[in-house]
Amino acid sequence: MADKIYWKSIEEKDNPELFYTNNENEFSSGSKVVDELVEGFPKSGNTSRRDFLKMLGFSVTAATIAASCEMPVRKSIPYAWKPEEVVPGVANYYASVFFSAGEYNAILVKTREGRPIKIEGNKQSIITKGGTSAKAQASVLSLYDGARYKGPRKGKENISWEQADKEVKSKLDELKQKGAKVALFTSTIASPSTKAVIKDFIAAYPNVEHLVYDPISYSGLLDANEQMFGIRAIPDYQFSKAKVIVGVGADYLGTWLNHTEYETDWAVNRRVSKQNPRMSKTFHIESVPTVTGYKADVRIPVKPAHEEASLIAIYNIVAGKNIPGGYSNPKIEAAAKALISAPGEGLLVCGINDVKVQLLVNAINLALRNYGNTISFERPVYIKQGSDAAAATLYDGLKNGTYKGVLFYESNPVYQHPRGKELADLIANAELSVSFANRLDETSSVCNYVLPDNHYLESWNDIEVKAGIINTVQPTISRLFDTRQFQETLLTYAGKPANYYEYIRQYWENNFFPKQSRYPGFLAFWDNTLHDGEVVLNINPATVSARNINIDDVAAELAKEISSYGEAQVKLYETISVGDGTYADNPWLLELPDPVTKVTWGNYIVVSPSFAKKNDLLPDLNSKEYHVLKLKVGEQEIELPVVAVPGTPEGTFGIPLGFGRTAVNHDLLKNGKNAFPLLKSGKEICGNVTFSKTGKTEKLAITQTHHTLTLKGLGGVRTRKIVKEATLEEYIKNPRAGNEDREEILHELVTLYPTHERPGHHWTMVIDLNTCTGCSACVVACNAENNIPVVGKDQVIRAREMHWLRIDRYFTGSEEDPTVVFQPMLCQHCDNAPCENVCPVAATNHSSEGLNQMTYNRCIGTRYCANNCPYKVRRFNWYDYAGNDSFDKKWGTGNDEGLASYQLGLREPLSRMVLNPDVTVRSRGVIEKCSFCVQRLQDAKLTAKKENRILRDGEAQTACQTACPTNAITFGDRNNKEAAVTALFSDERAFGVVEELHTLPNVLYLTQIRNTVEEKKV
Amino acid sequence: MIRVGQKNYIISFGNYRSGIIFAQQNFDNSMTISCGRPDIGRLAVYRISLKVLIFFLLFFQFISPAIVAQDAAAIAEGKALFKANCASCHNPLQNATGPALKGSLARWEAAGEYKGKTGKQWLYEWIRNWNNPVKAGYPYAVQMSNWAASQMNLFPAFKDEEIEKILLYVDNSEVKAAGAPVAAGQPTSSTPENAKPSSDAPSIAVYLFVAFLVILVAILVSVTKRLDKLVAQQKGEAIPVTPSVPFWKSRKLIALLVIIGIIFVGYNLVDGAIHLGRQQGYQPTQPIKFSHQLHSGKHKIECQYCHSTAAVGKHSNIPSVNTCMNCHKNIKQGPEYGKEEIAKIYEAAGWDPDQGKYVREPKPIEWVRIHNLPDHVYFNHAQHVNAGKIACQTCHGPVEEMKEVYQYSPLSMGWCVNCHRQSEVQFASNNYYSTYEKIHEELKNKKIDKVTVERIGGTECQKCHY
Repeated sequence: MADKIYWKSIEEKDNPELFYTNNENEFSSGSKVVDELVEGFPKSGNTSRRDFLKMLGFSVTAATIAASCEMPVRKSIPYAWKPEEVVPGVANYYASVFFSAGEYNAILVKTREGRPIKIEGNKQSIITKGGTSAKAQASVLSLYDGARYKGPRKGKENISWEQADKEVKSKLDELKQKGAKVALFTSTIASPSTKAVIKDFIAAYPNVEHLVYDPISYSGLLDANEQMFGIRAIPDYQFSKAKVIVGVGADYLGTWLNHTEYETDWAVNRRVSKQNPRMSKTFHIESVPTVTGYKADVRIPVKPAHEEASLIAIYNIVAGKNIPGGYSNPKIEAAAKALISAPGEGLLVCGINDVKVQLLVNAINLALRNYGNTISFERPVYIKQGSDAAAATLYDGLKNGTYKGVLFYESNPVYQHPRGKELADLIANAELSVSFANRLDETSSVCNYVLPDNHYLESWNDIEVKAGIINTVQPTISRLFDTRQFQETLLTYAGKPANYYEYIRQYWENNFFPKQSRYPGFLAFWDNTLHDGEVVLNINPATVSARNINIDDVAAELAKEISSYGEAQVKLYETISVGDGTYADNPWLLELPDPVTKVTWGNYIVVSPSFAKKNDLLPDLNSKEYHVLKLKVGEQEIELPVVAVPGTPEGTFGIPLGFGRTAVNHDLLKNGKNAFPLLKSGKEICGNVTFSKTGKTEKLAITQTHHTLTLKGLGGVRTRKIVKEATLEEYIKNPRAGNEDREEILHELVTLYPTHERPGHHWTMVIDLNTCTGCSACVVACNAENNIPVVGKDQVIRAREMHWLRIDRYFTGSEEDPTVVFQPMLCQHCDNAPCENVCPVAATNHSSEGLNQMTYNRCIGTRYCANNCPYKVRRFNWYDYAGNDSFDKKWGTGNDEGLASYQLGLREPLSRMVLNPDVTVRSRGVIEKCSFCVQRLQDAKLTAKKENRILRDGEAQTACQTACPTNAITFGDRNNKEAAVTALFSDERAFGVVEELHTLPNVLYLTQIRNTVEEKKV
Repeated sequence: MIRVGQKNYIISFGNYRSGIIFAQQNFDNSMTISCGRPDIGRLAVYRISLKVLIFFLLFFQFISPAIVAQDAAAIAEGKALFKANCASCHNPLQNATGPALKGSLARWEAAGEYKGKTGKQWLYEWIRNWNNPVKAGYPYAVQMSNWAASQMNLFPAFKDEEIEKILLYVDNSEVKAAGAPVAAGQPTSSTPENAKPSSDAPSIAVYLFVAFLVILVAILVSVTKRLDKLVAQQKGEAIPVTPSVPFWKSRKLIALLVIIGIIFVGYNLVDGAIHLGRQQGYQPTQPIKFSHQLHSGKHKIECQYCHSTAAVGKHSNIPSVNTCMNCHKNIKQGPEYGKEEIAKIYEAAGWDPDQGKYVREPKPIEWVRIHNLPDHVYFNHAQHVNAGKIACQTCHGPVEEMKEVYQYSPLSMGWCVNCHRQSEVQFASNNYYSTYEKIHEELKNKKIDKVTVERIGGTECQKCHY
């Protein structure tokens, strides 16, 4: 175990010496700083004496002018009429729910002076239990998106609501009279009140048909359930009850269905301790690596066709059948046996959108008696209701003229439909086409009318994602633009009072109030539900019974289909960051490195390392030039750069969906290629792929090798311990397993420095590597909380991303089948911080509460601290990314105009409304890093002082901690003996990264424990 | 005049002491040298320096203003009584709810005797119970009783000497009012245009004093030289002949002047640079002539009645206009500007005083912000007001005496840090601090006698910068 060798990339594995030499210089990778700085000067190349004198003269004059200026007169404008609940400087939280792009998170919206600035998880929710996803965290930025429609439009022209209503209504009336059909095309609608509104609307316009289509479709699963159980719904998967979980291409910790809920539940059985040394056992069969696969105890890499084929094999084993066409290997057999060994306590989930596959999965789960135990239809899940048929219906209907008009709500088929391009023309030729999109997208830009909906943070709504569990959505800011809620627009046309708030209340009073017994009056019921954000109603559990379906035939048919796939297949998949592409215009998400591939700003083709080596497709890491490959699937062709990802089997070409948006606010947001045209019939696996090299290369902003902790210790290459792991078996025998050397290391540490005094608090963080899934919600939460700028693709290529918190991942084992550890890396707040000693101006120093504090206004930008930081967590502001120093913008030196933050409007007053007013916006030339969310600590302390009491454990929480769906991060005051973190800090599993340097970090990690039986034998 | 004198006095006092040290040093130097060779010349120097010292002491004694102790105590007592009993309706200098009181004694005395009592006696009666002189028919009292519709409160318990003190204070109040805030810088102007930050640059007197000392040193040096020469002559020693260079061309002098010049310019440059962006004394003209002196000083309205969020939030709010309307729905006229300024509130609130209802949409009043902290400073009012129990005046100065508010404190980092070093936290009374067990132990063991903000980390960077 101690000899395990970890690596971050294939290059590092193959040639560590060269790799470390290349990455030794903190600020050198891929950037020529000096050249870039003189770009603005005459192209002679170097700075001449003349330039120097010019600069000198300019600086002196500027300084003189700036110094002699009088102080500006600043206004202080109070509220005209102060709302009672608003106290300037004190945040208010409103319960709401993020339900968009197929994701569901019960949230709290943090508002300051009436503007939402941060999304937090709603800990009262019994579904997501306070967990959040990266998209939910980033959704607050889309509120302040410059691409939002400012009012109704006709073509490219702005019109008034009166005019829009008049024209659209008369057109609708005309179509009604003609008896021409109109399609209302939406993604899944989980709001009962909205459904009622649509019903009212259809009652007024019987010619309207409601079509529901989800771009990332679960139609196969829904249809299979309908066939088998007679209910077209998704069952309630209860990961917390499962002892054995087998996933087949279902990224249930990252993107699959209601993954935030699954993450919180999965973590329940993954949190091991001496008292409870039990863990669930997870197997994951997948082609393209995902966080779920990397986290699994046993990851079984198979090519896409074999994902399906392995199910036949499992079915054969479980049901004792012998259907040909299955794919099996010892690991798959082990998975099947594990399922059999835990009847009623196992769970098999599959992410392939195919009725046959899902029927097979249902049959296996049924055979294992998992229904009623780990899978329940008591409260069916309504997160996805779309049908693949709807997409075809729309296309055909528009083509053959059945539909004369079409209305789009929360759907963007021109981008997300496989035949989007053709649809664009058909929509443009329809008699009436209306989009309710709140911001620019491909479909709304071809519609006759755009009647912009409010952003969800400006709206009233209700969401029922699980039967009888209803969340409320409430406005957290008054409308920024002249928009109107979709529901009110429909109500207007239906001739009803256009007040959706009253409508919801009425609907609740009639339908939900009678189904609860807690509150005697409706007002109390409504107010309390609004306050809590969630209510659980008493419902009659749905009773389902399995129908008899000949599964053997289904399996045989599937086997036939698999055999037609050929040698290699394309697997289309969703990434954690942009998902189905709805949020592919969100800069926070675009700059979020994919936890698996580490790529930002664009998509790519995932291939196996051996394939890349065979075909000479490995990139040049220094120049970040990646080889472009052309794939041909049927008539569709796609050209994308190739990324070799360890653990990808040969015969696999993984392509992330959601990129390649074209109707966006800026060219910088057009990243990668749209892979939806490949998604024929909604199935992610496409067979019969041919590839050809193009000879072209393309730069990818990949952060894989940035900020690498050198594993090279004093004793030579790879002697440092960065991550530690053990198997469950070893852990039960010895809780120090994998961490045996820590005692020795701590014993050897001696110091000449005096120890710091901590009279009050001693802030400490412990991160459980076992429950960290790498989902990256914490990274986006950190962005939002700490005003971390977006730097753009160009700057990321130069290794200048500003994230204070990154997810490192370490591979060990072979390239074909590695095991992986995710490690969130942030400032370790060392008690013996190497950065502090080297700062010439003491801009970084230590607080009496154990914080390594960074003082921006004292920093002169020597960057010595970053060079001396063994964890590589310090970030330098090469530019005035946030634009707080307007000097740049006015007198721009030319360089800044190339900045993403500048071009994307992230320096505009609108997007700056998202900034956290408690955190300084850093200017150029200073270092910044994680502060342990000191503003939150100070706030929690002040609250305690105001209330004349001690600070309770768990009150002071960092942004990453609150965002984490698996509670992998524990934070608190180590001086408090009762604090959870104090116990964990002395846990046998706790270790510090490169502790032998005697940095005395205040962030410790708990060893990763895998529930595997002696890995080598499997 | 007295104000200037006071200021000079304060400043000169500081230098006066350093003057002694200077003189002392000269004195010591001569003594040290003289220890080796106790001869006549040295003794002469000794004598001279002693005389200089005495002269110098006398000089400063002379220019320091004599403290006028007479009646000061009585005025102070009178002020206290006035503030406690009269100030809610009276201002010595202006008409308020009651008339301006300065010179009232003279006016009553001028009104003459009536029914065997002097005007002064009638005034004393009036103050205790104004009904008595009116009922008695004293004409001036009858006249004054019609001054306003409102009736004066009764103060039957006032003793003669108390009334005397109050009147003494009232008659001397002009001086007081004008010379109020001197301790930490005087507002230099009242318009934003020329409200540049005032610096603490030493006054001319200091420069004169330094020049005087330089001349003194020069005289002493030359006298010593001459005496040395004389002594040498007396002893018959050879006099070293130096080529005569006019002193203004002497290298030493030029070097000295250059060094002095560099120090002078450098000091002023650094000092000026430090003060860049600071606005102590900043007193802009506000859109409404709102007087804190009237509201907070005279009417004793609690600061947090209007600035209600100071105890709960980061910011101390400027009240929105509905707070103003709480009182000004009824109070339609002010003592100084009549209806003019209050009309601006009505305008902002959308209130029609004639109809007595809101008729328009309210719009906010655009006040000019006086206290500006840089963006990278986090300051929380609740922390100071609520947790720290710091009085508003500690930082904002005597707002209750300010007709127009100005920035009282420098709001510099040094000023903040100094206070954090000196101020005690509410260590015993706030349960939050029970976490600091170690410090409680130290207190118990008498290792320390107080817990300052600094002791619990209040001067660390990230207490204010994050």
